[in-house]
This record gives sequence, structure tokens and C-alpha cells, in this order.
Amino acid sequence: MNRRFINKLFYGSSWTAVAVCCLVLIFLLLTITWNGIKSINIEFLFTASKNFGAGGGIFYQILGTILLIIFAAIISFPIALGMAIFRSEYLKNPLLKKLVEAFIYGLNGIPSIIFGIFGLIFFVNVLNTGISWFVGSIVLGIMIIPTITLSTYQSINSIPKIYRETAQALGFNRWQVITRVLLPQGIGGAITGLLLGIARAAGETAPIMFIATAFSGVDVPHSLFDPVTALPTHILALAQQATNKQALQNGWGASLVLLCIVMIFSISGLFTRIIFKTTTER
Amino acid sequence: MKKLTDSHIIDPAPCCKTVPVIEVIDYNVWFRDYHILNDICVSFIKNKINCIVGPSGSGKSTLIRGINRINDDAEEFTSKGLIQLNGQNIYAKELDITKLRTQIGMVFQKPCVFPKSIAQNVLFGIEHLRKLSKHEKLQIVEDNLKAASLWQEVSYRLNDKANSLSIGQQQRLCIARTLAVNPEVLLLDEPTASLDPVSTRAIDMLRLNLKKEYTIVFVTHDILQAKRISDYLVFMCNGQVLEHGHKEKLFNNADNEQTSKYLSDEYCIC
Repeated sequence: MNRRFINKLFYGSSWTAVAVCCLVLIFLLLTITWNGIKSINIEFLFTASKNFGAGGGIFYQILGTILLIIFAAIISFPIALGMAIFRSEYLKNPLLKKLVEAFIYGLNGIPSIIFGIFGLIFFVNVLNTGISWFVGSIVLGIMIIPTITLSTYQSINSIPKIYRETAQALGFNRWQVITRVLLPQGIGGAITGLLLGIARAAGETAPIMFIATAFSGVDVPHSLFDPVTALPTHILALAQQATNKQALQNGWGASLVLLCIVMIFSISGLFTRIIFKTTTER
Repeated sequence: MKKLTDSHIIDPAPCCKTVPVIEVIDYNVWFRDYHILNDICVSFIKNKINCIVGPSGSGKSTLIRGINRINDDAEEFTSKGLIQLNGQNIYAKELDITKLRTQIGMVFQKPCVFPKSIAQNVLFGIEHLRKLSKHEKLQIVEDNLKAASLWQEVSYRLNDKANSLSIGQQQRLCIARTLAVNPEVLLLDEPTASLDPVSTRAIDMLRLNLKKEYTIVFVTHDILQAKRISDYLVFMCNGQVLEHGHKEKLFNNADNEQTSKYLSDEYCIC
């Protein structure tokens, strides 16, 4: 095989990989959109579900999902930001750095069902909180901490050392360097991580189904310790009624709405990265 | 620890009295196991351009960075010895390092402007030290851009992004930002290394003007530049100061053979 042929082979293989990936995604999006769009109307989006999801809409499921992810973001963002700053700016010991890194990647790799079981045992059974949306938010928050931490860390760490040294040479202390130089330039990465984390949290079923959600008979929570109903668990419940055509149709509709929520956060993350990259061009 | 002896203080020129602002006494630096600076003893003279020259890896930048302790945060950095600013040990435990850095300003080799406007860049350092009125801000921007010989070029576009300036202008903006903090000493670590001859000349002129008010310590590889603008010269090699003194003395009659060879642009192995 000559060099030119090998070059073409690799070029073709790369294109095939890209095409396969895009086709799978396009097929998935088209299938869900094609099947789900039939259910989407004002009534479906703004009314409560009936008959275990076979009738009515998904208003409280959307509300529950938004509530869970907003509080997950509020809980996880400061912790992740702190971890990223600590790892980037304060942690100098190489061994400790590696340990913290292993911890973050380890947390990122834990299957979501384990978070659900942990939440069930620790919060519901040991702390006796009961099924609570707030506990669900905490568990989702813990789950997305690594995503936000890694994105923020990469963003802060990619700021050239000269910015830190210039600020220090102007008399800034370390805290001032962080707040006035690093965070304004690294916040784009943090927000991207947050949006990607939210997108992941919005789609997760396993961590919340034992500890935060109920399948029916739930509307707006009145306290921190009330359950909610959320889109992923609602879709799971509808999928289990596959023989009921209307339930299945509503399942497609709910899937499309969930997909839109996830896509909105994912695309916002991408745009945030682009916008901040432009404004802090170095 | 050694005392700074007469031989370490640059001999006064017949016409003028020299006052050492910075005195480096028996200063050693290690990065991990590497001994970068070895028993450095030298002084830098007030309101003069003190130039450090030497081949790459001789420790020039490490020395200049030691003077405002910018290396302190570097991993596995250790130092021993004494550096005094007006007789005060800058490594003393009770010393406020952030205050020290406002007294000893530093400009780096690569111009580093923040993603802000030209005016905001000038005010970036001073604003965190004290509250400024709008009038004061305008005055500080104007004064320091004038001091950095940049006012005429940017006065009509102070709100433009600083990274829209040329590299040479950015470097002068960095100098203006450092001057705004009102330091006593200005450390310049090869500030013209990445500039074209026109920008280099502008910064050389600027340095000559600034020495009236500031003590300047600058590092360069460019022997002609050192000859052109320096008053005092320090020649470093392999982490040691081989010779230092008046520019004329070192260029015309250096005691050390390596100094003589290096400054006459001959091949020199330290």
C-alpha cells in the first residue's frame, strides 16, 4: 500500500465515523420529532396528566423537571467553581492534585443508578426525608459537579500564566487575581459546564425515580420535602404502558419536550463557549 | 550570610553620586534540584537604567523576578539570601508582598493586556488600591499614557479594546499600567524581545525619559541596546554575576575575559 492510499483510507475512515455519528443523531431526532410532534399542542403543554399519563398533558412534569434542575444547578455550581479554583490556583502538591483529579473523574464515572440508590439509602432511609424534590436536586447536583468542575478547571487553566503574573505584579493578592482576572475570563467555561451538566441532569431518570418523583397524583410541591413528577420518570411510566396507544403517543410527545429542553441547554452551552471565547480572545 | 561589600556596589561615576535602591546579597535560587542563581551579590542604582545582560539560561530573568517575588508561587521554588529595597529585606516575614509589588512594578517580555478597553487597562492596577473619582481616572489615564509615550496614538480611542493595538503599543500600554500604580522601581524583563525595530526604539526612548523618575532594571539579550541606553551593566553567566559596573567600564575595559568577549559580540562559552 502506498502512502497516498493510506492517507485516503484514513481520510475516508474519519469521514465515515463522522457520518455514522451524525446519521444516528439525525435518525434519533427525526424519529422522536416525527412521532412526538403529533402530541404537541397548547393543551398538552399546559395541562396536568390524567389516567396515569394516557390522557391530559405534561405541565407538572415540565415544572418538576425545571425545579429539579434549577436547584441542582444552584447546589452544584458554587461547589464545582470552588473545586475548580482550588485545584487550579491553590493545590500545588502534585500528588494531591492527582488524587483530586482521580476523585473528580471517579465521581464523573459513577453510574447514575448508584446515585439514586445512594440517595434512597442515605436521604430517604437514614435521614428519613421521604420522597422529596429537594433531595432529588441534591443528588442531581452531586452528579453534575464533575462536569462543571472539569469544564471550569479547563477554562481557568487555559488562561496563560502571564495574566496571573501581570496581576500579581500590579499588587493583586491571590484572591484578587482569581476574582478580577481568572473568573471574568474563565466564567464562560464554568457556564458551559453548568449548562451541559443541567442538560445531563434534565435527562436522568435513575437518580430521581426512587427519591424525588412520583408517577401520578402530584402537582406543585408545597414544601422542600414534597415529591414532584418529572419528564424522565413520566416517560418511563408511559413506556411501561406500551399496549395503550394513547399513553405511548403521549410518551413520544413528552420525549420530544425533554429532548428540546436538553438541546436548549446543550446548544446554549456551545454558544456560551463561543461568545466568551470571542470576548476574551487572547 | 555575606555582607554586601564595597566591591558589590557599583563605583560612583566621577560626576554623580550613586544611591543603591535594590541590593541583592548572597542570593540563591533553586527550582527543584537545579541551582539557578548562585550567590548573587549586586546593587541597582537609583534613577538609572540598570541593565542585566548575559546568554540564555544565565539566570537574568530569575534574578529580576526575584526582586518583586513573582517566583514565589512557582512550583518547587526555593530561595536563600537577601534582597533589600531601600534597606528593607523584601523576604522579611512581616512584609506585605502585595505592597512590595506596587513599589516594584514589572513588565514582562510578552505584552499582556486584559480583555478590556485601553483606559480600563491603564486603571486596572491602581483601581484596586484606592477609590478613584471620574476626574482622577481620566487624569491617571492621560498622565500615564503620556509617560508611556502612547497618548498621542490612542487619546481619541481610549474605549477601544486594548488588544486592537499593535504589539509595540500594547507593550507601552503595559508600561503605562505599571506606572499608574506609581512604583519606585521598574523591572523590565526583555520588554522589546518580540518587537520590531521601530517599537523597540520607541520603548528605548521611553526608558530614557522614565529614568528621571524611576529606577529601571531591565534584562536584554541585545548588546547594542544595552550599550545604547543603559547606565550600569550587570553581566551574568551560569547563574552568577561575573562582572558589573558602569557601562563604559564594561564595554571598554572589562576585567573579566568572558564579559569582554560577550559584550564585543564574540563567541563566548560561560
